[in-house]
Amino acid sequence: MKDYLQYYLKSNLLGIKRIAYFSKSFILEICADIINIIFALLFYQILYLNVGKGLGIPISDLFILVLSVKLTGDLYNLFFGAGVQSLPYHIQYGTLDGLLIKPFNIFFLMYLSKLNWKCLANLIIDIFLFMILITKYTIDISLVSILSYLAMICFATLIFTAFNILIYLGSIIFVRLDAFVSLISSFFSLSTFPAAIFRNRILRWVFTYLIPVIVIGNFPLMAIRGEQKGSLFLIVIIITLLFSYLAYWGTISMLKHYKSVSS
Amino acid sequence: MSSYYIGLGKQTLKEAMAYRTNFILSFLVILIPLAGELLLAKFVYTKGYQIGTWQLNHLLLYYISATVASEFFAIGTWWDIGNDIKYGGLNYHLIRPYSYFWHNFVVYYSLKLVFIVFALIIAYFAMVIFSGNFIPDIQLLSLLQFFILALIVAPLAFLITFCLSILTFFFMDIDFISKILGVLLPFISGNILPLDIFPATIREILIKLPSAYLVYYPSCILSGNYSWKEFSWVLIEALIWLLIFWILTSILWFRGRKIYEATG
Repeated sequence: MKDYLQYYLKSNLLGIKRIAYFSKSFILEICADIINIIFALLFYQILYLNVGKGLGIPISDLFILVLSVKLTGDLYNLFFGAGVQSLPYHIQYGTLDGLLIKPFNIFFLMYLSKLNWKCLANLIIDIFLFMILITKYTIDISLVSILSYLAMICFATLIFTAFNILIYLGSIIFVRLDAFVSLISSFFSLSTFPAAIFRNRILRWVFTYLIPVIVIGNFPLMAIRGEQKGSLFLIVIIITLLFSYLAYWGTISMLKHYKSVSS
Repeated sequence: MSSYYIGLGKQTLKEAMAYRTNFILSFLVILIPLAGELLLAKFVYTKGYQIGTWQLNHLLLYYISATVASEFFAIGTWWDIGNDIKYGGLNYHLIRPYSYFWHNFVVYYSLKLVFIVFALIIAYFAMVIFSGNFIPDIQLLSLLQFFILALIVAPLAFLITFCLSILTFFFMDIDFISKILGVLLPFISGNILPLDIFPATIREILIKLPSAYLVYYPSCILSGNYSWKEFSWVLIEALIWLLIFWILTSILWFRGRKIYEATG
């Protein structure tokens, strides 16, 4: 465990040096992220000014929905994103060998060893925005609802990570899968919409269990609102286990088929 | 000289056709967030509410038109131009007997032409699915006005792109421009929401910006009824922006050429 921690710290502290070198780009990227989240909130604010209750849920809930999606995305990018996204590169150019020969768990090396510092700054911004939201709209929260919410965000992050691993594993079969990855990832842009808009039962089922779009934004919102406590957690645990197992099985299969030569 | 541009256009079309699957997939990527917006709009209307003064069928048409327009009249930084300046590849073009601007214009819109064919097919299917109508509710007059406006907006979009790209003469890295634009444009151009439903102060500013002439006005024209008088005002304002960017681009190109060292 100590070795893992040492490796993790050493390799990621080097990342800070890189940020210091490209500080201008780092700041601009954070600015772009802030503008992005402000516009996402503004989208609902403007709609709310026009249709009020027509959106089906209070404006504060819509803001929580948007922030939850951002929080999940930032957590994924902070801990897993860099590793998961480099998977096609390793497979395509045969550089996975460099990781396989290291005396560490391959799952740790592939998916968890790279920290994205930019997202740490984003997380701080998310927390700041949440505090503004809670104080401005006097949202009724308790310790239990906050803990349920945080647990749901953790589950959502794990599901999102496992789902991304499954997509990127496709590079063992296809040489270029950029457009496919973008296509599947774009489904997650739907996670900032309230679940009520998916009125068709099949659509709702697809976006909960196959492409877990509703789980990412709407489940944390339901958790903080204290809706369907038991069943909600049961569903999310089942989905997390299912996707995690699939990602694990997929990675093991990929490693069996990996030929150490660039494709 | 015109035969050179025609030949260049044909060649680019052939190259672009080789990547048709990529074109289709990349447009589907844009269609999915659009599907969310359409589902949300339908949800609001079925509850008996209305967004601004928009009828549901017009709003659906607006969103689909805006998605296509935002791709065809897209602005940003173009890597070809940026790289030519950054790595000295511009030398190759400067010694040739053609205009560097029109050379890139032809390549840019030949690529867009292939994209737009696939985009229109997919947009048509999206419209049928969401509105249930096989024939789009577009007036012939609106279509005519759209094509006239497109003749101004297409060069305007490219002029803005060219203008932003030649900033490479003055800055080492212009990545941040495309990043900021990628976030700002969908919102300020009317791609995400029609600009007329924004609060009055913001609306008055946004509808006068060049971005509105690229997405908002073409989409409004297609989905609504503009009188010739209203349309001519839009046209004049678009022409003014075209002139402004023509002057700005000429100045930047002239000054940039002066400091260009041709060494990369």
